[in-house]
Amino acid sequence: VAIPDLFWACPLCRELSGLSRDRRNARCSACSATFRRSRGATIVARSPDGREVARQPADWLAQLPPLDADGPLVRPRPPGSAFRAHVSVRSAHGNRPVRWRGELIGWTERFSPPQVGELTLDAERVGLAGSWSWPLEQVTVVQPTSAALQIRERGGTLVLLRFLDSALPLWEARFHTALRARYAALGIGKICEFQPRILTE
Amino acid sequence: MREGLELRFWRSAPMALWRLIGSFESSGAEHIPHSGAFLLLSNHQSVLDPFFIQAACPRALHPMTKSTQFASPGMRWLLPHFNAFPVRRYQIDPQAVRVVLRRLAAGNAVHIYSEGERSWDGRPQEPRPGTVRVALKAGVPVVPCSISGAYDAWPRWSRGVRRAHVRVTFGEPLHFARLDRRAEREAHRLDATKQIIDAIAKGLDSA
Repeated sequence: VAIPDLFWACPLCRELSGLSRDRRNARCSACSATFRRSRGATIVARSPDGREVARQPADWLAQLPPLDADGPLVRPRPPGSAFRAHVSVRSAHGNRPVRWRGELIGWTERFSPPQVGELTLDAERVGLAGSWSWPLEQVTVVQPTSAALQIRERGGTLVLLRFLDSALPLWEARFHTALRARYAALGIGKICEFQPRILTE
Repeated sequence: MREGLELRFWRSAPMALWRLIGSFESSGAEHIPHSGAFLLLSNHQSVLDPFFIQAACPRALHPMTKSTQFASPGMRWLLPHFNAFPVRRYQIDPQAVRVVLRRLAAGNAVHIYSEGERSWDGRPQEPRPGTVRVALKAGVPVVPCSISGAYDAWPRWSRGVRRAHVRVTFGEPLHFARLDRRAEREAHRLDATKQIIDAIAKGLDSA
């Protein structure tokens, strides 16, 4: 995890795909600003002219383009012009019991090795290029975990999506908006919860 | 693991390490029941939260922990030694609810991060509906716990620990009636959610 997992755009120039990882820091390819963690959770931005600005993450986040459902960053796209992201994907193939002193205390997942690919999300489907594609109405959950997003197909596989060139909050918002719109279009209902499973009012 | 040994470990080893780089204080321990079951609901700022909260709490906590933490054999062996049990957050997990109720029935203290995930920006989030439903199903005292400063120590988007002043505050227990019927729980859920939000916010304001 690093600053690009938090910021979906450059807080200075607001370029969406500008930020990239620079070890633990971030650099904007559009305006050449750099971002590093300073004291506590403070993030310091250094612009190309050498000026430095220190702010708390919540204050920087307020500078970013908003994740409005009707806004261009999030609004569902028609098939053929899907949102795309470079992702590392792990699939759960079964569960393993967790026992303590003979008592079953729960379950944990058996995950496949990570597979890198291109995720696509449009107004109707989500898929991994060359691997799987699910209709949105078959997605049963959108659950963020650390720096990844868990989604699951109805009666099927759980996948863990780690976004390699984009921020998790942006993609969580895209999934939420696309699912809400799809449910509305199909007349399934208004989604009120995304975890631990999608529920409608 | 015996409660005394476990508490001694949580209080000594992680806190001794932490005091090399940061400071820590807690308040409200008088609100923790001396005996009997209770549910501790807290906000979630950092992966360090369990260490600080257990260090501040005079009772051994049984933390509900995301299932992926148990994926490696080492963690699967280690975490249950500290009373942790897994929850699958991507589906209704009846086994996790059973374990919560079983441990409460045995008079233990169960700790749930009511927000379900760490905050990205340090600000508190709304409790997950499932957490509130469990609280209403259990019908035990709910102790609100507010942690601040842990975000400065190790936020979700960073890999490193930094110096910070961490504060844990326990609030006065909330008392919800045990509601066995789902319809009753749903009818009371929003009111209970508001009470939990307010109680955790009060602790953060006092920090």
